[in-house]
This record gives sequence, structure tokens and C-alpha cells, in this order.
Amino acid sequence: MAGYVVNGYVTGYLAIGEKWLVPALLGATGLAAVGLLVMRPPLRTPAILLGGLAIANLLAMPTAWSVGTILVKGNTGFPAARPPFLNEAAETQRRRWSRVAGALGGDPKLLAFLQGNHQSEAYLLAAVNARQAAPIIIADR
Amino acid sequence: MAPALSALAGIGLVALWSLDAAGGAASLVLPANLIAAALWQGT
Repeated sequence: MAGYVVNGYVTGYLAIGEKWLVPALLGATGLAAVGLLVMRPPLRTPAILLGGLAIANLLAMPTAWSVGTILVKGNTGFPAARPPFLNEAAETQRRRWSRVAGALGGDPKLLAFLQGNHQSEAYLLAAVNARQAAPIIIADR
Repeated sequence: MAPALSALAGIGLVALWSLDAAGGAASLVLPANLIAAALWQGT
């Protein structure tokens, strides 16, 4: 239950923040750096706060990327690092790539073609790897 | 590899902090690095 709440909160937050979150984080980092530049001589406590803010901002997106990788749903046989928010093109591309290189289920269009045009002749199947070939071999039996 | 890189980042941060506290032209290195890292992330 808690996992679902955290999952929904994090993914919802990041999806909402897609447009403004990155510029805001990087802008705040720039402002903190400018603050460090103009504060001469540097005062210890404000310098620590500004430096800490800048570094925390710089680590926010790598952290979000790691969270996105943990929360990814899809082909667990083909895990990949990913940002927390993907646009439609990237999502489609990832699905296609996981099907080509690490598919757990065969390509339904290819299977339909093979079954529809098979007339008891032998044919040769070339595949990138055994993971791609296995479901086609099983479906073709 | 991550522990080694983390150690290097920590060493670099301490060195940059010392340069910043020392003043002079070298104190520009820490803010410049922060800005460069932000620009790099933004691209």
C-alpha cells in the first residue's frame, strides 16, 4: 500500500514537473553559484548553505533518474536505465527495442506471417539472440 | 566503480572548497564548476 502511494506520488510529481522542474533546478544552481561568486570574502554559514543548495540541485536529476529506473514497468527481462518521464516517441522506441533485442514474447506480426504463409516447407530463422528466437520456436511448434 | 568515483568527487569538493575560502582568482573555480555542471546537465 505504502509502495503504491510512494510510486504514485513520485511518478505524478515528476510527470507534472517535466516542463519546469529541470530549468528550475538548474537555474537555482546557477543562482547559488552566482551567490558564491559575489560573496567576497566568503562567509562560512551562507557559503555552506549556497554550496549545499547547488550540489543538492545537481544531484536531484540523477536521483530522479535512478528512481525512474527502479519504478519502470515493462519488460523485466530487458532492464534499462531510464528517466522518470518519457515522451511518447521515447516510450514507443523503448518498446520496439525491447522486442527486437530482448523479447520474452514473440513479435505477433511475425508469428502471424509465418503461420499464415507456412506450407510445410523448412525455413531458416535468424535472430539477434536466443531470447528473441525462443518464443518464435515455441509458437511455431 | 561508484565508490572510487564518489571518493574522487569528495576529494575534489574539499579541494574546491579550500580554493574558494583562500580567495583570489582560484576562488572562481568552485562557482565556475557548479555552473559548468548545471550547463552540462541541461544539455
